[in-house]
Amino acid sequence: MNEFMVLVERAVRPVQAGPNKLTRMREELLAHLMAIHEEELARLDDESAARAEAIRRFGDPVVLTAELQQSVKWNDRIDARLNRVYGWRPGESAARYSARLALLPALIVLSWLPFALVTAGFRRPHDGTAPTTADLLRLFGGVLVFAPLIVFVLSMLSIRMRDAMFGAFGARRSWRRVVGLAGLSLLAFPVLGLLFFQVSLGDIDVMADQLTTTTSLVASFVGYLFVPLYLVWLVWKAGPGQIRYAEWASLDIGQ
Amino acid sequence: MEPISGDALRGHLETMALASLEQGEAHGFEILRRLTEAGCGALRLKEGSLYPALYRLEKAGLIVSDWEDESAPRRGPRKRVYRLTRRGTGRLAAGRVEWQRFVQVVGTILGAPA
Repeated sequence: MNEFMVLVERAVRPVQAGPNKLTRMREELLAHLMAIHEEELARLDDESAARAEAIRRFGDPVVLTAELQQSVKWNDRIDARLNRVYGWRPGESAARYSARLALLPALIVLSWLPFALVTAGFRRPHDGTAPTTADLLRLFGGVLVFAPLIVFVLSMLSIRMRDAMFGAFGARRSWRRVVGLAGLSLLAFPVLGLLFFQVSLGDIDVMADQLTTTTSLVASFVGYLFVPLYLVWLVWKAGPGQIRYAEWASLDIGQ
Repeated sequence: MEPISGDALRGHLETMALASLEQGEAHGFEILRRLTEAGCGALRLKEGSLYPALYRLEKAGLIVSDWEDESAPRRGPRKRVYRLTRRGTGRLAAGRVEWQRFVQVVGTILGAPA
């Protein structure tokens, strides 16, 4: 099977398309190649001859790459570009991948810096109701630090959760670990949120007095419950595809 | 019979795939089997080339596809099952008319009318 996977991967890897499209191509072509092999094996009753015939019938992977590329839609090309920048790369650690992912909100927040500075410039002197430039920059700095941080933490948790859920990449399959990681994700928003308010807005005690009511606490808890639930659902749905993609993309095709 | 391959097939593969799917939904290997059977073994196609043709047909909305039923027993990787859309049926009918006209015109030129 590995020889067939390499042949398929030689045809598919150079195609400029998103991970879902590439995985679909890989699986379909591999299923076809294996079906040809099975048919030839029944006909020839010789493993190596059947293998050679299956490869011949399948065709030249270089020609196939060009044909596959022509069949790709424009949105798949955009997917490919986004994946090249923000997708997982073979051999990349979870931490490095999550850090790259966290760069995206950082860049988005940074692009709003001129707007924040201009807004601060409009403040009339001695206007006690409007935030000062220092206040705005402090808030801005808080968002700049904590938005990427939350992305990093949630990405790390989801990767570890996926590996534990499916026993992938050397991790032991453990639902206990999945539940533990989901519990950690439940804490991520309140803890990082409190830190954000403390760093960006100061006066956390006043805010806590104003916001800490029974209703707000219950509402927050119910709201935060969605974080682990969503994360588990996301990992359950997307995990197998990510694992398959990683297996294919890590295949040594000798090129 | 001399095998028909490469350039002679190019341009017709998509219509032939539509015709194959007219018999009912099928995955790629089955589509090829139907084509080979219908062509009495005279078609020589690099089989990987069928899939780009299927993707182009799907992109044009002439066919749709889904992964085969996960609960059904299977060996090896998943297969994707294709089926004709209403637009695909219309395109196939138009393809047949075009083909008959092509054969008629070229046949007349070659002195071998259909």
